[in-house]
Amino acid sequence: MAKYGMVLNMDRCSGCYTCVVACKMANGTRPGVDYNGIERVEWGEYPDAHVRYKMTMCMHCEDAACVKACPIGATYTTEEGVVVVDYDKCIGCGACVTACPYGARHLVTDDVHHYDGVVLPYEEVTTETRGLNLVEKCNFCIGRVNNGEKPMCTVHCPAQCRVFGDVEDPESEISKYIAQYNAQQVEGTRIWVVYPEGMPEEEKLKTPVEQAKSKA
Amino acid sequence: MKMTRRSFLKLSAATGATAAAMGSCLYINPDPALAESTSPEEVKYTHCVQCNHGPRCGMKCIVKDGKVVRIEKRENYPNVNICAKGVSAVQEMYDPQRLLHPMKRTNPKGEPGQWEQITWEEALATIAEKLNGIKEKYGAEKVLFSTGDPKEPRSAVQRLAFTFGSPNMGTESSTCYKATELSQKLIYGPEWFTAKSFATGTNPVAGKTRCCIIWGNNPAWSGPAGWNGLLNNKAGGGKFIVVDPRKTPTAECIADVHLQIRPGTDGALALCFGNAIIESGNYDKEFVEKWCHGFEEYKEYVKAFTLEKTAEICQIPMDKLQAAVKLLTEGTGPVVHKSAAAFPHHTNGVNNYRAISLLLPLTGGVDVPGGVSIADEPLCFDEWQMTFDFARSSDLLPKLDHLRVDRPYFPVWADTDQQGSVQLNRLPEYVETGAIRAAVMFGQNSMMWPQTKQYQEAFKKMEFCVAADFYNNKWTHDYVDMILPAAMSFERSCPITVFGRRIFLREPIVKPQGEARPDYRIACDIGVALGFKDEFWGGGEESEINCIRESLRTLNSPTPITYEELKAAGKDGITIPMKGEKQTKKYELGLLRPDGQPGFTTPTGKVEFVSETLKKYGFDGLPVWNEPVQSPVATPDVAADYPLILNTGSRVPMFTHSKQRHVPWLRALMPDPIVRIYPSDAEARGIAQGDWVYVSTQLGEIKARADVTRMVKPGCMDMFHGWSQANVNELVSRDFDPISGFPPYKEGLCQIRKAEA
Repeated sequence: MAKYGMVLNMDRCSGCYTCVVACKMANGTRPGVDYNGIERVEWGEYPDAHVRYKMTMCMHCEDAACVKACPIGATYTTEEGVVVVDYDKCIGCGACVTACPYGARHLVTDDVHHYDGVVLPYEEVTTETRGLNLVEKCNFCIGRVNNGEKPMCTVHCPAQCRVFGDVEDPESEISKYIAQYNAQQVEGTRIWVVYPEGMPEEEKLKTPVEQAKSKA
Repeated sequence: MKMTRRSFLKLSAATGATAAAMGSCLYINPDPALAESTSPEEVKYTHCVQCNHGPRCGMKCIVKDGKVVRIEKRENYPNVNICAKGVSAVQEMYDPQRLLHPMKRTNPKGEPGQWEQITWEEALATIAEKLNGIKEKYGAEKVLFSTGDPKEPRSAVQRLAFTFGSPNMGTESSTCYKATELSQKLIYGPEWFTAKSFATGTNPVAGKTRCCIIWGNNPAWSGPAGWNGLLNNKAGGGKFIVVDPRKTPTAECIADVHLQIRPGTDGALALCFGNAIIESGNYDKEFVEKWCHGFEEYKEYVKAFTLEKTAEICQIPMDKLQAAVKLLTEGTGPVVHKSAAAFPHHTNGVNNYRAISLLLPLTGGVDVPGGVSIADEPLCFDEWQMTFDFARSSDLLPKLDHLRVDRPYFPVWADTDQQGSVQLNRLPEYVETGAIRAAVMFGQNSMMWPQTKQYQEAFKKMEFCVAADFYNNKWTHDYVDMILPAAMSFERSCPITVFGRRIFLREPIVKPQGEARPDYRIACDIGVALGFKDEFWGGGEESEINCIRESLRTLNSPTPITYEELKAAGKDGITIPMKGEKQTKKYELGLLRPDGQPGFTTPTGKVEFVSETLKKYGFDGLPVWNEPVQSPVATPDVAADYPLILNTGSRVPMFTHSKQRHVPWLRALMPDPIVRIYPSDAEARGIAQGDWVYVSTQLGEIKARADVTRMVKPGCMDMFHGWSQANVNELVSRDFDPISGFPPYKEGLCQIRKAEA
């Protein structure tokens, strides 16, 4: 059985936002709903200041608080390790949104579009097929993955700093990438990371346990 | 029909026939009956022009019901990486605010435009009547033809201008790439293919190149197509110095040494590098001796730029300067650089760029591996990828050259321009003196110029001004008489897509929205209306195909290529073979000069460290460095009130110039105009992150949000241009570089203060 994971190489990231916009295209997310994000991180002072970028997204926790919080089993972890929402079952109660330590879930209730009152062609095949009053999040573009394609953020990243695949397969692109860049798994998640030298510890992606503590 | 909602999960067990037939939708209805009734997805190939500086990044578009619903990666294509702007084309193409019909104004120019929809027939008849009237009364050269963004119509607009009888065709490159090219013409001669080969520099080759200086350039944001290659180059052993006042992602990810230079002092630093290389003895004495002119004079001049003096001029810490010099003087092979439009945006811009560019011949990098290669057997595609014969810059332009409007102001530009694009930056003066009385503009934008209001007034003063565009942009179109709807990239075909010797036909993948027409067709339709039916093949729907046929007919390909063959080649394109072998050191072989003699096309036939062309027009022949016209050193009295150094015109990842502000995905990434300021400078002014502030120079004041960040150098600011509500170019002076006519977007003095709310 494949086990999926994603590498975020922040040492190569230029903060170009292509992953953010590619995700919005693929998933037809509504205004203000972003499954992934880019945050600027700074440290040091001139002439030794540093400005880098941090990627954020659903960490696909192995023991996910959102899954435990869901009262009806609408959100669950697949055998491949992907935390997903069954939109047919989701009742939009929002319990998982509160439970998620990373703020990676969005309860979508308003029928708003990017151009007021206009449904664009890409929205017809994404946003409009999903409906309202349910919780959305990154699912590693599982529909694409099941169809033999890659998550859209990894397709369009111009710097190849996002890589997805089966980490159990030593021949997979992601396994080789993890070995080449010595990417480190964020414990308890399906996310591997490479940080630029000197990035402050407090800016690094936390494990679910640490993240829950800092949120509380 | 629309697919019903939800339930990708039912599919996860079996991704069989249904999913395959449906392509790669995320939410696939598992019911085969429903799936069959849904129209299928088609795959079509095109390229992107969102950023408009020519990478033509490939796009594999998924089209459903004649509309683009998704963009995937286009494989087997020269540029495969698209960026956030490219992806966002699926929004912009269907933007309800697009201009879809020809419109004429019903109220006086200069007031907020009131527009009446007209037919294309009426529009073309009016254009013909106005332009032919001016031609009859004053002469055809009084009509200006211009292109802004997109650059793609350039060749067609040249054909239109020159056929009509006006040499006065200009482009947005009056403030962009052209000065870098001009700098190379002063070093290597006016021959265009040679100058173009050198203009923006090159990547290093590990083991062959000593070092690459990325100078005033942030390809991480300005050229995402090549960014991954640079990262891989670095990983493969490439050595990089980055010179930029800002802490850019390029500097962070690539630089072995990053020099955060004081804006406007680049020339001094380059001359210091030259001196250090000469003093180390590690330069190409044989090449300099045999192929260069003015080296001894240059060698004497650069002696003044010692490390101590340069560190002070450029405000660079000595240890970092020493580290850079170590990279440049140790090791073997040429020193190359990568730069672009940013560099000449100074009052001393061309000479600053000459100073850095001369490090290449100094270290023996001319047309050798590890240096810069000059194009082998260049195909006769012009600046924008149709042939010179198509654009008629080869036959008609030379006869019209004496009517150029820019020569009295910028003789060096005019004299070295073989492409046929006039320097537009004195447009207010051209109109004021009656040298220009009307304009036909494609994607032209008033905000590209410093002191924008003067250019808006110039449009307004003209007897007739018509603009083709994707949108009705008030900052330009409030000052014109008529606007024409232009088709976007996905809806058009011309020009030919050229990557070196590999060429592609980009066919329209969707129909133009509304009554929009491809700009090549608009040019042909106007040509026919003006009375040149044969020259524009009768205009109409076949215009683009006819233009491509004419370019292929006049292409210097060893074997002829037809439109049908290019079409049949489809997404794979055609690679045009060379007659001979690739050559190095083509200057030794007599391949660079029209007379077949060895050497270059400069007045001396050599690489000119001292430019005889500049001397001819009364300039110093050396790549002299001068303080910016306005700076803390040159004008301390001004700096007392305006202590911060102005730095504008750099790139951001989400917008190109003034474009894409209306694209929701991108606007969400930067909702308001921002000005970047260093934390200590912000604190001294009581400014916090996100505060509204006023940015002012002696020329005016605008309001923006403060972005407090270490991305800028203390004492400097950085502001992106193209915001109509906060147009930073109103704060920039018209102190043009007298050689290129370029404005000083990256120097000057300003102040920032907190706004009330």
